[in-house]
Amino acid sequence: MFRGKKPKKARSRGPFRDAFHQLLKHRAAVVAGLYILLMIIFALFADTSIISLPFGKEVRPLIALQHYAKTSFRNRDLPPGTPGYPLGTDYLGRDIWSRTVYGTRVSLSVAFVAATVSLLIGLTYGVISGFARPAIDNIMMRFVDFLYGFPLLIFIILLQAYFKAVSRAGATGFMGLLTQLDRAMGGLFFVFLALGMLNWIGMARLARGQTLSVKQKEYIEAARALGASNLRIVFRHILPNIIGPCIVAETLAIPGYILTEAFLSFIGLGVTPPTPSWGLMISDTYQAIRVYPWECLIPGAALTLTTLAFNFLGDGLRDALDPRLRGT
Amino acid sequence: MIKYIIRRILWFIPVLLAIITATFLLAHSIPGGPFDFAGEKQLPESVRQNLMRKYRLDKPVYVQLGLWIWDVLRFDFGPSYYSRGQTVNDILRRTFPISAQLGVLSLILALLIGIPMGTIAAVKQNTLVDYSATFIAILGVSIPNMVLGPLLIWVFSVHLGWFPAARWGVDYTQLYLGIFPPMTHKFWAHAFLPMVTLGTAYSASIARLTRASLLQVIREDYMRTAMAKGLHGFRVIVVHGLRNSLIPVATVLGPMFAGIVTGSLIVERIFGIPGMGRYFVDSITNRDYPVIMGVTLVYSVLLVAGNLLVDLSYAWLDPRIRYD
Repeated sequence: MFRGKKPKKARSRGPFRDAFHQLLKHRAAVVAGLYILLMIIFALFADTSIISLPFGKEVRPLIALQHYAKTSFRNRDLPPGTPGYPLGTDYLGRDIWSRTVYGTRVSLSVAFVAATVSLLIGLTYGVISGFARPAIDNIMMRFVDFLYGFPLLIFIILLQAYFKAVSRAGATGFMGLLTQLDRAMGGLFFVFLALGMLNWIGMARLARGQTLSVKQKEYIEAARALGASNLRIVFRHILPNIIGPCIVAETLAIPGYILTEAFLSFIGLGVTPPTPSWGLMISDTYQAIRVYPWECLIPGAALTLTTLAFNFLGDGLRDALDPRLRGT
Repeated sequence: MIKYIIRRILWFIPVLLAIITATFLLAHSIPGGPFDFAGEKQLPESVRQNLMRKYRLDKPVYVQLGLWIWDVLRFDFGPSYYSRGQTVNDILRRTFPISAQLGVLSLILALLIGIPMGTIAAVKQNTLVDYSATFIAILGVSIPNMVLGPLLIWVFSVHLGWFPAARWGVDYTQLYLGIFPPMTHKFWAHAFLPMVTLGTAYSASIARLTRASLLQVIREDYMRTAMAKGLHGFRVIVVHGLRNSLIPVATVLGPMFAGIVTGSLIVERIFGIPGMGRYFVDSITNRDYPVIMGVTLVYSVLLVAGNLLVDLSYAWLDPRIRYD
């Protein structure tokens, strides 16, 4: 139990303990980073013929042995370990290993695109709001506060339903172009759009707060005295000073994006089948968990490991970029 | 304080109006209507137009919106287009209590596990206890509902057979005052797995927040003063420390209400619970506008009220915060 002198002790750990601590903290981030790197490689080279193995007469890609949509009605519901199907097959006889590997493409692209879009919009909005006159700042932040009270998820669901229906009804003009793009991306484009349009709010708040605190610093005043333009102050002095916390916050938000995509696919409003999203794979198979547990648990494990990796990476990044927060 | 509450409640009106309008417009602009098909058959145009007229769908959207709001002010959410012979009021009366029970139980579970876990981790900082608690918490945050639910069913229902795998333990006719469930064995048996599925992620994030903020509070001067006064260590932590460190926890409880909604959409589906979430997605696919609007309104009122409660809890947690 805490006895008053602990606070000092927290700073001065023994070297062995400290090493153990660092190992647990940062090894986790390192392992997480390696795992994400491996996923990126899987996603990039899933179907490439550069890395391939001869399989009898045909040559198959090494990473994803089968195409994700290749069904085989004779080989339905095979358990893991069946020759040719390392992780078994699902209810349509599709190779679960290959589908899980292709699923990294969906999750990773959602992670990176949604994070980039939300960072760009949020940073721009937040910096403008923090840098502008108080009157403008007030209006912009009122708008953000207003959106903050909105049930965003309901809007994401409705937006997705709208996009899907428009795409099915066949649209023309600009919307038609978007639906074609969406079809080419297996239904991912609209997921990006819905996620990006609604997830910049937290980032805007953070960026504004950071800008406000940096704006008061002496070096900004010095730059102004030297005759620097507003644009130069923003890009040379403010942005480099606030980008660190923003990137950390964005990394920690990535699991949320991945889970939202999985959620949308789970309720049937995400990617278009047969694009293999982990959420879709789980929703297709969870009802058969009594009989074929692997069909649902394997994509589930992939999803969990990925969110876990991004969480560890985010924590590690935060520690690395802000030593004051170390250990909290 | 009362003035503040009244002002906040008045502020609900424009916020709810904006949410309703946006939802209404978005829902109605989705191509396709509720009466395009009867089962698989396409309805004849004349029948479709009669139905549209019956349900006022031939009027301009803003007129429909106005009429809908007028009805809602009299607590009439209208008929469901898809579930024939049921009004949205019937559906809400039947499904809302179940969703509410699930949500409240998981929130209570999250607080009951999260706060003690975070406190112990902070008090025993940099020990094995702390590391294990932190690791479990990060694992709990990372495992999604849609994975944890099937996993729990697989382990506890299929293999061990301890809990039923699906459905909810009580019917809406057995509830006290229309919302409180009877505390029967059957109720808990059905509620346990969904409650854990939904509560785990929240208890984990509450534990992380409690730990982080208690670690800062522990270094404060008044903590040392309390110790110097000779107070019991447990008392210092719980009375002086914990109460001051709960503000960040209260802050995330607001968005958590919203998260419980998301989670319940999934958990209700996985466990076959006849709650509100299941109706919501189906109602969008069926263009069942009154159900979409009814469920959205209930969720939004909860969300807005939840945010108000969070703001009020600040004043209780930290008496320095005043609202005038």
